[in-house]
Amino acid sequence: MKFKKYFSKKCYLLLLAIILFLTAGYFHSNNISYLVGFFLISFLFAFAVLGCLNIKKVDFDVIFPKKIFANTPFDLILKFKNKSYDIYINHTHFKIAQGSKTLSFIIKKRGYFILDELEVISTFPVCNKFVKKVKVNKKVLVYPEIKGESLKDFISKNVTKGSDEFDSLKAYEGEGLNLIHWGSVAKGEIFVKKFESLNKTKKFVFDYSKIKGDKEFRLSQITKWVLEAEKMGLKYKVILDGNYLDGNSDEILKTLALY
Amino acid sequence: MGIVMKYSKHLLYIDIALIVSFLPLFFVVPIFMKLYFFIGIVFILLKKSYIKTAAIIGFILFFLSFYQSFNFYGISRFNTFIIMLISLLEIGVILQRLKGVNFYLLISPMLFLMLSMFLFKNIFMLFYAVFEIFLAMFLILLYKIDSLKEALKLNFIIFLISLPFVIVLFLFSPRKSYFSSSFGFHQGFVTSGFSNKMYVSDNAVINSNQVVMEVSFSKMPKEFYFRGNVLYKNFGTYWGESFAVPKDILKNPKNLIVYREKMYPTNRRYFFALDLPVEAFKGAYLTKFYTIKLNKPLKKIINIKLNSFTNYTLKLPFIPLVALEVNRHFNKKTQKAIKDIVKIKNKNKRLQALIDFFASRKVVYTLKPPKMNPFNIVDELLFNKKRGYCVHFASAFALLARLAGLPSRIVTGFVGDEFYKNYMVIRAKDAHAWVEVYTDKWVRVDPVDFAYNIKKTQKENINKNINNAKNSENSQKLKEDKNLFFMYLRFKIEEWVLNYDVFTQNKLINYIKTYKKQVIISIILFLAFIAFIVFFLLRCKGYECYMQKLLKKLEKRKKRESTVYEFLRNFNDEKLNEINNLYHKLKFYKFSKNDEKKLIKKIKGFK
Repeated sequence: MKFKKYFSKKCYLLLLAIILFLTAGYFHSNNISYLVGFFLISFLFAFAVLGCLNIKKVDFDVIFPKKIFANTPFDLILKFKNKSYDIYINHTHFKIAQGSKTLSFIIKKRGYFILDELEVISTFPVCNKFVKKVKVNKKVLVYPEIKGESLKDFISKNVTKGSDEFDSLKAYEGEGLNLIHWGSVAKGEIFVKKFESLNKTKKFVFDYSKIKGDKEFRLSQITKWVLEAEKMGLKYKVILDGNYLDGNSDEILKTLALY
Repeated sequence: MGIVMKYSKHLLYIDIALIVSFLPLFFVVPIFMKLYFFIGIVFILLKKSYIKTAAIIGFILFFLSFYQSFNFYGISRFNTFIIMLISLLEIGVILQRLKGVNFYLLISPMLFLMLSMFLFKNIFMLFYAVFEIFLAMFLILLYKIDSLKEALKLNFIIFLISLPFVIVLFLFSPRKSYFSSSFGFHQGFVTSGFSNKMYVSDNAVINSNQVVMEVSFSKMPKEFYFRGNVLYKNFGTYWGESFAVPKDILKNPKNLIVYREKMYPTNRRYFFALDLPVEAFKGAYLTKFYTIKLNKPLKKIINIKLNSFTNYTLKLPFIPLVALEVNRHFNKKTQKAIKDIVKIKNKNKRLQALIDFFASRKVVYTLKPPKMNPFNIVDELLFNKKRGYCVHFASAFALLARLAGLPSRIVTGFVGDEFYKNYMVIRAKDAHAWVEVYTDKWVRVDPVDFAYNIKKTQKENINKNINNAKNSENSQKLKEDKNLFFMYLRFKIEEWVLNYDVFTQNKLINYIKTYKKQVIISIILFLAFIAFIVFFLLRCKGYECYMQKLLKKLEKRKKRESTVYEFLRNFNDEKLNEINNLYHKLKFYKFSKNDEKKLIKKIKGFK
C-alpha cells in the first residue's frame, strides 16, 4: 500500500530554528548551539523514518453493522492489524490505533453502497503529513432513512377515534399519551389501554400509494413502520405498486432500499 | 479547585516547556525580573485578564533593571544586550500566557534555549540543552498520543535514530579555525595562592582540594612540574621577581609532549604549563624564563592545547648578580658546615655535594612548621628546627647554593600526582616551589625530594595506625578514584564536545585515515547496536502480533472476506479452531498470561 508524504508548513519554523542554531554555532564557535542544530536536523530524518514506518503499518478490517439506514450515523468497527499512532480517518482522530476502534460514519443515499477505500492521514511524529488510502472493498446495502410519523401515533390517530373496541389494560411500555389509562395513574400505577386494532393477531397493511409525500419520504415512512411493527411484534404487509410484500422484514427492507 | 479543573493539558505542556527553558536564565536576569516572574505566575493562577496591569508592572520593572544600561556602552556589551532580550521575552511570554495558547508561546521555549546558549557555555548547559530538546519532543509526543509510556518509548527511538547523524554532523561539519567567543559568566576564582612573591612564613598551609588545572597528555612525561613564576630576589622574609636579569637561552629542545590543559580562573596572570613550553597562545606570552604569562588576569576557564619539551637546556648569556645575592651575616652554621664543599671546583660536583649535605641533615617535611626566622632560614631548617614545607626547603636550598657560590633561583608552580590513565588533576594543594641552580646550565633541584622519610623511623608506631585506618582509607581511596573518574569523564566531554574545534577535527580525520579498517568496523558495530535497540523497542509484542502473522499466512491460501472468527472456522481445521477459541477468549472474555503463552505456542506450532 502506497502513501504520499508532504512537508507540513509548521515545520518551516523548525528549519528556521536549525539555521539560527547553526549560524550561532558557527559564528560564536559554540558547540552546544551546533549540537542542538544537528539534533534538530537529525530529528527531521528520524521523523521521516518513523512517520513512514507508522503510516506503512496502518491497515485494518472494516466491519459494518447489520442494518444501515441512509442519513443516519452509525458506527463502523475498524479492526487494526498493527499498532500505529496519531492517525485521522474520516476526521476522527485515533491517538493510538490498535485493536478494535469505532468510527462514526454516515451514508446519504439508500441502495447499495460501495466503500472502496478509506483515507488515512497521519502527522506523526512531527513535521510530515502522510496520506494513505487503505483498501476496504466492501459492498453494503443501505436501507431508506427512518423518517415520518411513528406507528403508534398513526394508529391512535386513525383507529382509536372511530369504532375501535377497548380490549383490556396492560403495563405501560412507552406508548403514546392518548393510550394511557389516566384513571390508573391517579391510583399510583400506569396502565395503557389496549384496543382491538393493536391486537397482534390482526395484520396491518402499509400501502405505499396512500402515504402522502415524495417517493423517498414514502419509502422512509414505510421503513419506519416496518421496523416499529417488528419491534412491537405486530403482523404487517407492505403494498408497493400493487405488489404485496410479505414475510421477512429484511427482505422487505431490501426491496425498499432498492426500489 | 476551579483553576485546576479549567487548566487544560495543552497549556500544562507549554508551561512545563517554558519553565524548564527559562530556569537557567532565571538565575541570570536582574532581581526585578526575577520578581516579575513570580508576579506573572500569580496573575496566571488568578486566571483573570490582568494583561494591562501585568504589562505596566513588567515595563516598570524592566526599566528599573536596566536604566543604567540605556546607553551605547551598556547595550554594546553583549551580556547586557542578551539579558535585556531575555527580560523582554519574559515579559512577552507572561503577557501572552495571560491570553491563552498561541503561536508565540509555542516558539518561546526555543527562543529561551537559544538565548541561554549565548550565556552559558559549559558542560551543564550541554546536558541541559539536550535534556530540553528531549523534554520538548516528549511533550509534543505526549500531546499527540496521550500515553506516557508510549511517548517516552517513541522519544527514545527518535533520539536513538538521530544519534548517529548528530555524531557524524558534529564531527565533520565545517569549523572555524579561530578561538571561541568569550561571552558569558565566569565562575568563582580558585585560590591558587600565587603572586609575584613567595613568603617564607611559618603559617600552616591550607590544604585546599580546589581544582586548579586538568591536563590530558597524548604521551605521558616522566615528571609533572608545571612552572608558573621564577623568583631571583631574596628579600629575607620573601622572594620576589627581578627585572634586571637576562633572558634564558633555550638549546636542544627534545621530547615533545602534546597535551590539553584546562585551567580554572585564578584572577591572576600566571599560566602553568608543563616544563618547558616553547610557545604561548593567543592572549598570552612567553616570559624570558620560558613560563607563560597571560595578558589579562584569568577570569574564565581556559581550555587549550599546548606543546612542551621535557628535555632541554636553558642557559644564561651572563650571570646576573641577583642570582648570587645572599646575606652572609645569617646562616652561620651552614656556612661553617659547607666550608669544604665550597672548595669543590667542578660546579656539578659541588651541587651534588650540596644535595648530599642537605639530605644528610634529615629535615622532615610537614605542612605545620614550627616558628622560624626567615632571614636565617638555612640554619633554621637544616640545624635548628629541621621541619618545614616546600617553601622552606626551596628557600633554604636556593640560599645554600648561593652560599656555595652557585647562582640559583626559585621556581613556583605545581607538581601533580593525581592520575586517571593519561588524565591528571592538579589541585590548589599541589602548589609547589623548587630551585633551579646554575652550573653550566639551569638544573632543577627539588629539595623536598631530600626530605627525611618520617615513615622510616616511626614505622613501627605508624604501622599500627595504618592497619587500623586501612579499611577507612581504602573506601576513601575508592571514593577519590570514582571522583577522579568523573572528572576525567567531564574533561573528555569538554575536550570532544565543548571545545571541539578545527584542530581536533584534523586530528580525528588523520586518525580515520590511518586506522580505516578499525574505524569502519566500529561504525558498523555502533550502527548495528543502535538498529538493534530501535527494532527491539519497535518490535511487536504479545499474542496479537503472532495472530496477525498467522492471518497473513492464511490469507495467502484463502481470501478473507469475513471476521477473524468466521475466517478461521472456514478452514475446518482442529488446530485452527483451538487457536480461534483461545484468541477470542483472550481478546473478548478474559486475559491471562498462561492462555497467552498457550496461544503463542499453538500459533508457533501451526504449519
